[in-house]
Amino acid sequence: MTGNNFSSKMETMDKKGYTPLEIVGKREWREDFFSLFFHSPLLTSSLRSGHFLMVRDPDAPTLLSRPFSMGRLFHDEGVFELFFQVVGKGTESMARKRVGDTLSVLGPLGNPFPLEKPGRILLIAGGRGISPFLSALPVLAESKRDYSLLYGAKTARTLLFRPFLADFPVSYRTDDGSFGQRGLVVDGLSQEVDLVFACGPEKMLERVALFYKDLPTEVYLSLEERMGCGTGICYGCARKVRTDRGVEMVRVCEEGPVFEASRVVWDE
Amino acid sequence: MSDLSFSIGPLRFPNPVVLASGTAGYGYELEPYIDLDLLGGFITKGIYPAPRAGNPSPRVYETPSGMLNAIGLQGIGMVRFRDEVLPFWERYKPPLGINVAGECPEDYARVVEYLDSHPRIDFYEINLSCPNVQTGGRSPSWFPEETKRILSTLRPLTKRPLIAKLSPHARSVEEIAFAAQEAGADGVSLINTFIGLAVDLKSRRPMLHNLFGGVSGPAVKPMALAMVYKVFQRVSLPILGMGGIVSGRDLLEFIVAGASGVQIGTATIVDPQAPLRILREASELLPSLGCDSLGELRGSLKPYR
Ligand SMILES: Cc1cc2nc3c(=O)[nH]c(=O)nc-3n(C[C@H](O)[C@H](O)[C@H](O)COP(=O)(O)OP(=O)(O)OC[C@H]3O[C@@H](n4cnc5c(N)ncnc54)[C@H](O)[C@@H]3O)c2cc1C
Ligand SMILES: Cc1cc2nc3c(=O)[nH]c(=O)nc-3n(C[C@H](O)[C@H](O)[C@H](O)COP(=O)(O)O)c2cc1C
Ligand code: FES
Repeated sequence: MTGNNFSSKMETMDKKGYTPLEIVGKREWREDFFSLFFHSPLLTSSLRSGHFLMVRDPDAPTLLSRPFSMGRLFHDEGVFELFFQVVGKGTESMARKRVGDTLSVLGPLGNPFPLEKPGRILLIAGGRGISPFLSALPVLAESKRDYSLLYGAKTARTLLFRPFLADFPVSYRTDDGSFGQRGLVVDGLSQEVDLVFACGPEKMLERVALFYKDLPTEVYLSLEERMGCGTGICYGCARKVRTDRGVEMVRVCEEGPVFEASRVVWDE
Repeated sequence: MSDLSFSIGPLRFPNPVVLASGTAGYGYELEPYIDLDLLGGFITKGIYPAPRAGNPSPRVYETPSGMLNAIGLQGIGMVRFRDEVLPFWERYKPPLGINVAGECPEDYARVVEYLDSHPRIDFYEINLSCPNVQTGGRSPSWFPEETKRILSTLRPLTKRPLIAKLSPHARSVEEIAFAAQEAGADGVSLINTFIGLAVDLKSRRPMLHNLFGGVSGPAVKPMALAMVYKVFQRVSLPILGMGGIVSGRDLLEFIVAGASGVQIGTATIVDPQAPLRILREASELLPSLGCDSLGELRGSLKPYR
């Protein structure tokens, strides 16, 4: 009798795991913004706006993976984009990667935006919160939906992807008025919509939730929290959300990252 | 093929890879990533009598070669655990351990009493590192007397193996292990996390909302190995060793230091398939060390004289 009933084939049979993916393209934007492009027909066809991926650099001194939503999806080439801002050790090491290097990627994770819900749609993006909408816009255009994007950033220099966005109905805002209207995105909200999908800084999301609080508009927010595992096992990413049982600490990676705004509890 | 099994009392573990409490959820979360039947064993998140919300976020932060966590023992409580989680485990074979938590000795007893009639439970791991509200937040496993008190309360309540999980912060971990043995424990597992702090220089805030957190991962491995070796010298109980195991090599080092089996924690958080990779690596490495079984390797450290 032996306990060693083990073979490496059984290890991964029908199971999802980290996959090494080669970087097939890199783009250096400005102000510490980068895009990396990966070839994976499987991921490219299964990722939906709002999903995220856990990304790890096997050669970096970091241990934990970091969460990122994907940017554009290039279905013909089977290529997807990660768009990120350098804020610390993990993103720094990602920014140093070159075409031909590989990163370990796990996904798709989390629950996407319910784009299929009927009604007029307003997408709201603040800063790097544009990521999930880069894949949502072509889907909404294709299905001939009534939709528009409100996209804000600090200044014109960080209002990225404008050539790509030119094909879609977008209104721009910058804090300093250097492009589009001057002011915050939350000053440009419209009541004349049935569905709102928003991604961006916490303060912006809270004000979006507040604006639509007593209106019939359904609002969905993509929330961020520092993560350990991204797979629901460590409970590191929990935040206060209303559930059938009252207010609970709910995992952003497993039950989110997209939450109905009315369920989110904001701390003072 | 080599024999990787080991036993704690009458309970046989098919291989040495047991998933550590709090780093693998309740088990079902891992189903999309691994075949749970290939594990040597599984230990649940800490179970208190009542549900607990845990700490506000941020709850985790990466530290040099490790991580800091202050989840605050968030959990669904023993009633929902029995109704919602135990039925899931009836589909899988590996030994299932309940990590029993409490704020006072009575809490631990309530959990064991409530769950013990359930046939799927194989053993209890008593988390003696929980802050005790009666002693001003100090954890029982810092003190031999507290350790004894809790374990002797639990001993008459169950026939299943009781494993005492020890904190690295006791003045002498081997004395705590000895106290556990005297109180009737069937095994010890060590180590739980080290208390740590990370600082955000810009905001001068702690990186965790809770201020302090527990340090785990490769950073703690040398300290964990030393404690396993000391406890192995002091007590005859089987040891589940843990702290920073991320490879088959690490696993076998713990066996050499005296562990019967190991637990994998942070490595599973990093990659849900890591436990099975670690098992494969260890089983491939064992024959090259001239061993047919883990037992041959156990406690085989040869100090210089
Ligand atoms: C679901 C989800 C999707 C995301 N999508 C993107 C994306 O598309 N593009 C992008 O640039 N970033 C995204 N992020 C944020 C990204 O994960 C963090 O910026 C990254 O983890 C920072 O890692 P680091 O090692 O560089 O920083 P660290 O050294 O770990 O930390 C540096 C600073 O960043 C803060 N931080 C770390 N992790 C997070 C986090 N998850 N959320 C908020 N603050 C954090 C820390 O508190 C610290 O102040 C997303 C986060 C989540 C949860
Ligand atoms: C996120 C996290 C949560 C944990 N929760 C518990 C717990 O509920 N009960 C417990 O006894 N130990 C808990 N631990 C400690 C681990 O079980 C283990 O003792 C420790 O992490 C050392 O092993 P490692 O270095 O392999 O992670 C937790 C550890 C982490 C990282
Ligand atoms: S990040 Fe671990 S549970 Fe969400």
